[in-house]
Amino acid sequence: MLEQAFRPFLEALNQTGNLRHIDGEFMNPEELFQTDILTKLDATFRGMYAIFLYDLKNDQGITAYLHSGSVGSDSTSRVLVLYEKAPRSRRNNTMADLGITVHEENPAVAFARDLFPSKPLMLPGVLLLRRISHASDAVYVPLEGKQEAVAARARQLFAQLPATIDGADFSTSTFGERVGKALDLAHIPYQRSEPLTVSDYLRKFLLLVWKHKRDLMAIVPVLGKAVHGAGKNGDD
Amino acid sequence: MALDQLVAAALLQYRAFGLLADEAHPAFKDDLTHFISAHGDPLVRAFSALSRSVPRQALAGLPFLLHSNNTAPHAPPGGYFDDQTPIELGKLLTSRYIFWAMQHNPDAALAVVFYLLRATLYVLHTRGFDTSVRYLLDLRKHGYLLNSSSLNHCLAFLFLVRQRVSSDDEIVPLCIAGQPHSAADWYNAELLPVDLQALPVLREAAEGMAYLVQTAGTDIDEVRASQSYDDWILGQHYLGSLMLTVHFILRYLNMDEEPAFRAFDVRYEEICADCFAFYHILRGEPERYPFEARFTASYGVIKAVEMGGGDWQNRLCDERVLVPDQLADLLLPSDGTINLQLEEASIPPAWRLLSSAVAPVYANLVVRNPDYRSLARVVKMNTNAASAPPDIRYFLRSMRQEPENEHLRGQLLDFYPYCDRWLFVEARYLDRRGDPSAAMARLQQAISIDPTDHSRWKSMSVILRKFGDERAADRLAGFARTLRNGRATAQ
Repeated sequence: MLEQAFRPFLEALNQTGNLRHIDGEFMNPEELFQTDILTKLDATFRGMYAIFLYDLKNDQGITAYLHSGSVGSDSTSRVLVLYEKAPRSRRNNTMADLGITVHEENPAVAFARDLFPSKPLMLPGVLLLRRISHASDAVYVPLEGKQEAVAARARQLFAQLPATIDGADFSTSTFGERVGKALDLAHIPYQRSEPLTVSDYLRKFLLLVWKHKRDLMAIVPVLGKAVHGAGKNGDD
Repeated sequence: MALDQLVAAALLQYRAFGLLADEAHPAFKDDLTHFISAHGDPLVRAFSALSRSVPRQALAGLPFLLHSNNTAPHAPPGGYFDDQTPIELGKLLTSRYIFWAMQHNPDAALAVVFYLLRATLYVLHTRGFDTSVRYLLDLRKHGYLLNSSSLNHCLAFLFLVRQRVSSDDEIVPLCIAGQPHSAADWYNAELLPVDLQALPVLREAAEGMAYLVQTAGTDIDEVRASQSYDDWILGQHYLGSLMLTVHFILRYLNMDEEPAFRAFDVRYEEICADCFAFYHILRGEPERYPFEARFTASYGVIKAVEMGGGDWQNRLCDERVLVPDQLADLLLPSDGTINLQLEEASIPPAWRLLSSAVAPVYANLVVRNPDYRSLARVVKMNTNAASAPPDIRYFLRSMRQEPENEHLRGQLLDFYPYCDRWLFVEARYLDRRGDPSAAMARLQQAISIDPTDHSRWKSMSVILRKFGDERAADRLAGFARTLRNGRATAQ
């Protein structure tokens, strides 16, 4: 699926009715988060989230993979993917230009530290979540190395994911347990968290990114309704 | 080599007509007749006379559509130009205006869709589904299609058919009878009726839709990255209609509520509104010199965005097409101010005015002023005071007295940039001074404004000879004679 900027996507998701404004549908971020937009996101997408956490300037393998465009075809229709990307506009600054030290204040690093306070995460990697606006356990998979290694690992990982949620009974095993089991079988190293609610941290992460005139990119799966009969055969 | 510019200018002029002409305007028929007699026909005849001497670089990568195999018996009905495409430029241009006339004839509406679909299916057959979608958009982008109705029809049909086959390879056999063996066979291929209701839906429309949405996004980026005012004007006209096409297809396929496409839909709708506002402003500012780039019309929107607060400039530049990338630093400096009234000297030359290839078409279709060549432009001189431009006759008289006065020469073209008589004089002057390349550039401008004057073609042949292109020079000299004799017998 195609890539799009996350902020206009959330604004459009929040929009109701056909009223349009001359200045566009830009929203002040505080105003946007006063609505229950993240709950709405959870309600719209029944799959899972994959958030790539990395440093755009220093983690070259993962940067190259995310900029190559193949993540959109690797990620399957069960996963909504989020990641930072070097912006198109000459107006946007890269984090590197802001003169902040990467290990202390990179928004992705701060976000990772908030989520896993006891066991520091080794970035870069990808965080898997079932829900954002209410408690869910998170699974973190490190993605180190050159572009080929990152791409191979990411493809291997994405291939495991649909089976962990399709028809799953989460009352007998949690999301983290199911994903962990699949990753164990595939020999993919990972780290699990206690159940946590990501929305506050994600909000903080996004506000920081937006404040620096940056945005996350989203690969949004299509829900689809045009196919008659079973709706679950449209994986790609 | 030297003819490259002329070919590029001619192609640009055709593109400009296709995009700027309003097919619903009551004067459309006259507009087309005028374009053919004043530009199309003399250019076609010149290129036909030049025959194989026409350089083909400017054609590379452009889309083409042929509705009849008389144009080029060995060429397929549609595709993109490469070195080997066996189509002569003169014949291509003729077939283009025949196709325009066809689009204006209500009785030929079905035939137009038929030709379009056949060419598109050929592209699908040879280069795949996504390229066939891109091809349809490119025909509109390059002015083959005067409006989007046939384009929308074909796109919708392609998407619906695609949902009803399990592989793209099945689309062509479903729509075309028999199996055309050669490219030329395609002209006789029969289009089969496809009963969409009777075929079950096997696939989501989303995949093809995602490509359409994405490729429309690359067009948006391309227009924003325009390198000249020509590109910007033509790009805005194309984008307005492209955004409507995407809007239509999203709804036609019930994809407009799909969350993955919502943000695109919202944004494209805004861009569409901006394009049409621009379109009306261009046509409704009688007091301004109509060929100069101006951005003051964006002020209202930019101001409104600013008042909305936040990182407005940033998102305006990222999400809308109000400000070209090349001028963004000038128009919206990074200190947060808005500076839409630019100093002439600060604007890159390609952004100051429409080129002489686009200006004649624009003058006729948008400004509707046939006397644009003697229309004076207000130029800020070094003193900073805008002085009233002297009468054009004053200039021509003074120049006869002082032919070497460089200051006067420069001023004349500042005030009257499309004075083709003077461009021609200037070309001959530059040639005498021993600068054939500069002379050629001026001649190309003079010819773009009026290609019916045989003496300009004669001069061009003289300069081609200096470049050592004897064959092209002979052919062009022959054409200049025919043009002169034709005029003599017509009078």
